[in-house]
Amino acid sequence: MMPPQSQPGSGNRKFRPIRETAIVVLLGMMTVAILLRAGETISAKTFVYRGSQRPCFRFDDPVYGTRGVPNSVCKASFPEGEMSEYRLNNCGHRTPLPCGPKPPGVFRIVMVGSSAGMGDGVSFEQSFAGQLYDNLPRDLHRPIQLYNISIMGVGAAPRYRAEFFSDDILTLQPDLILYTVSPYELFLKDPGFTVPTASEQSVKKNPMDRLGIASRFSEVLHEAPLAVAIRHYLYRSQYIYLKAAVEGDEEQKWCLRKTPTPEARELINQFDRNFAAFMGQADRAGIPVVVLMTPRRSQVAMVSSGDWSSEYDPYWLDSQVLEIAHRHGAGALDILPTLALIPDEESLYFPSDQHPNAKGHAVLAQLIERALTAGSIPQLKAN
Amino acid sequence: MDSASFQFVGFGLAVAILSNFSRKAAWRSGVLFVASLAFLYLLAPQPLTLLPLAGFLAIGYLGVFLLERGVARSYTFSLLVIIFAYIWLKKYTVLPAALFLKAPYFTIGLSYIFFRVLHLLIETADRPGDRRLGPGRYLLYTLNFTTLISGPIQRYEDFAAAQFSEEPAPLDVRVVGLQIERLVRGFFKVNVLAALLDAVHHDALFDMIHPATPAGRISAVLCIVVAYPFYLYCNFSGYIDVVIAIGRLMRLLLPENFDRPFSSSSFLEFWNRWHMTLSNWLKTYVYNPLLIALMRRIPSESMQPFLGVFCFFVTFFLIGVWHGRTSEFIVFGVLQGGGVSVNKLWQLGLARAMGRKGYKALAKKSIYVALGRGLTFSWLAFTLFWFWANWKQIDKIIGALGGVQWLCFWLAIWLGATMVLAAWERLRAALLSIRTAEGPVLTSRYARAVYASTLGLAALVMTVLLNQPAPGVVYKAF
Repeated sequence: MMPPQSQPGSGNRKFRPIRETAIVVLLGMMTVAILLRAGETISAKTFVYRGSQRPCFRFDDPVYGTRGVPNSVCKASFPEGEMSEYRLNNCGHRTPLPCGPKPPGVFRIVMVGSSAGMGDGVSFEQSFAGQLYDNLPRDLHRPIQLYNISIMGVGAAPRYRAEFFSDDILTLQPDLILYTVSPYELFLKDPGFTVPTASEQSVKKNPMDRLGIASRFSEVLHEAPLAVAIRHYLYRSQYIYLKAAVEGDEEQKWCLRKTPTPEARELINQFDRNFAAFMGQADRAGIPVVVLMTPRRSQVAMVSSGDWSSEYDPYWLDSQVLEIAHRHGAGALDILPTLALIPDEESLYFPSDQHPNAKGHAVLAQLIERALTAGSIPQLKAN
Repeated sequence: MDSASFQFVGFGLAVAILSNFSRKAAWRSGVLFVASLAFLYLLAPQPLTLLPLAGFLAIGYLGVFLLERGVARSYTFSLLVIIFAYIWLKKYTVLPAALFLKAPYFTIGLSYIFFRVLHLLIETADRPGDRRLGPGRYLLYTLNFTTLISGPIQRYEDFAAAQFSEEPAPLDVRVVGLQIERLVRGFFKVNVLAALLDAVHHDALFDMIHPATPAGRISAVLCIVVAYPFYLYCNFSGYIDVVIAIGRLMRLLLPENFDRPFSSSSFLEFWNRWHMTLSNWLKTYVYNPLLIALMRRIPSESMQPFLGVFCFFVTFFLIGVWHGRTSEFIVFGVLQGGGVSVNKLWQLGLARAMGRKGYKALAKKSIYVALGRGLTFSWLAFTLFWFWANWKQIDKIIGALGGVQWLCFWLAIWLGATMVLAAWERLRAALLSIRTAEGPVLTSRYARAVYASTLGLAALVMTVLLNQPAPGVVYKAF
């Protein structure tokens, strides 16, 4: 920093206040413009979406929310990731298996889930679904197939899962349904969801938003390459990331609260209803269901830090979901406590995007396989 | 509002604009008074929580009132009551917990009010009848919102000279420009630099406890040691920059609290450059009276330097202890007092061994200065463990490395700090040597406009992107 003793403009030249003020203001504005432009240009070389998932997915499907286009192939990458291929089978599922009944003698697991389950941002081989597809038959020396029907976007909402039960799941003849669920899809609201959203309240609490600047500025900046780049580097810090998560919008922090808001309670009730409908169909078809909670980075980071204030409980949502699963007769697996033991949890996620990266998928695959083969599911019990 | 946040800056600027509607002392004082009350209300919306603070202020005023009217007997009693009230309200662990108030109450800024009230009591006792303060001026001085949270600790005479003058400090476009630049710089220091260094420190603490590799543990300890002094500096000096700038825009001349402390080549010098208003206060009201009293009792000339060493120890021990209420801060105080005492003894010893001229010549040598700078930083970083950590954390830090590893580590810190700080000083000197007829290019208004815009943009982007509240000012807790 510059020393206070120096007095600018203390020379002999006559000081013209208006002219000098104009120059200084102009210089300031030019500096801001140049910096923003330069930052954006440099960031745009790395931190932009490439390719497109549009040829592979219908994001406004009237029945299912999101639906894969059968036999489609496309390539896309997150701003922070590498180009990944999305190759969908004849039913629009991201799996190398053909759609249809299972071969005789095969124990088939159908996995339902969201973008994380689908492996958004990584190749199929890198995704935990892809690794389980390879590893389960190899490690258990049994003909086991993991058929992945996870889908990204709003189609991952639990209400759609009951919808596509008879259309998709039954035709696949599963021996077990692996029902993966994360805070993201639990936050997706069904039509008619009426509780006033706490997210609106929390945004209003933001001091900048009282000036009416923050939300608009934040929206504009959110997807800008420079913003992605800054978040990418800053969110590598567990401390900064966690602070942002607990101060962020409701979708980020609702899974961290100890005392649920009315909205969170209603979201849990909504999941309870949707899961009951799903289980009703699974029970009628005689297919066992195992629920697997895939946590957000914020939950993992908070548990991992081992230090949270009394208003937070990163286990709260998991315990709610697992209790609902048990109540409806499903099995339940919780990998959060083990996942939080990984020392560098920040390296498991795309920092800005927050989906698991390739390393994260590898760790998830290991933990899920360990949980599946621990003995609670007899057919998958490791020898 | 209790940190260098957008709200605080906005509040301060609004008050500054209002304050400048008239240059009359009555108007400016009225605005400052209302603003200070509003500030208190914003910090503590439940007025009942302010009652203990109000009681503390009332006791202080009563003491000043009696002294102004020549009741000299009340002096010692007032001092003791104020000191006890402070220790009691701040819940220092030297008192039994059963004595403390159970209901929550407001204590932010109490330390700084305490210093101001003590200053008034002592000065009034020294010169009774010199002035009549009156409750309005007393409250204006003690509750001034620009210095309430974390100082700086201003003398009443300096406050009054600027605040109650009918010819206040001038405010032209150059002054406004400089203060805006300083405000932006302070905001950047707190909201960007301190926030990042705080994150580095916290992440390193986590990595030290859960290291991925043995080398990871050493690098984590390194980050812990190096990041915290800079974090503390950015956090505190950034806030001070903001309040000094707001004060100046209100035509209040607040004292400087920092003067490039990491350029200090000795620990004694460090305390002349860090939290200067606190160390000056303690030198005025602890060191000097204690030294005079001891010299009266022990008139031996040969003992005088050692009496000075002892007084340094007591003064800086008190500085350390003032920072907190737990036993960690007693160790922090011992290390501060020990640091300055040993530093003084070293100076005395060298002067005796080499002669004054020889010592002065040595102290001017750049290698001596650089090594002293590195050692000062290392000692500060070491003592700060007892400032920010609790015993459990300190135990983990000490256990992170073995005895020989620690020795090598601190040697490396010393040498590393010596080289890095020396390189910084050279770079700074080289940059400032680029001059025009008006002065160094880098301190010209044009350069300031460019870097203030850069820092402002960085702070704005980071604050909005991360959507986090401004980091709290560490010193508000003391």
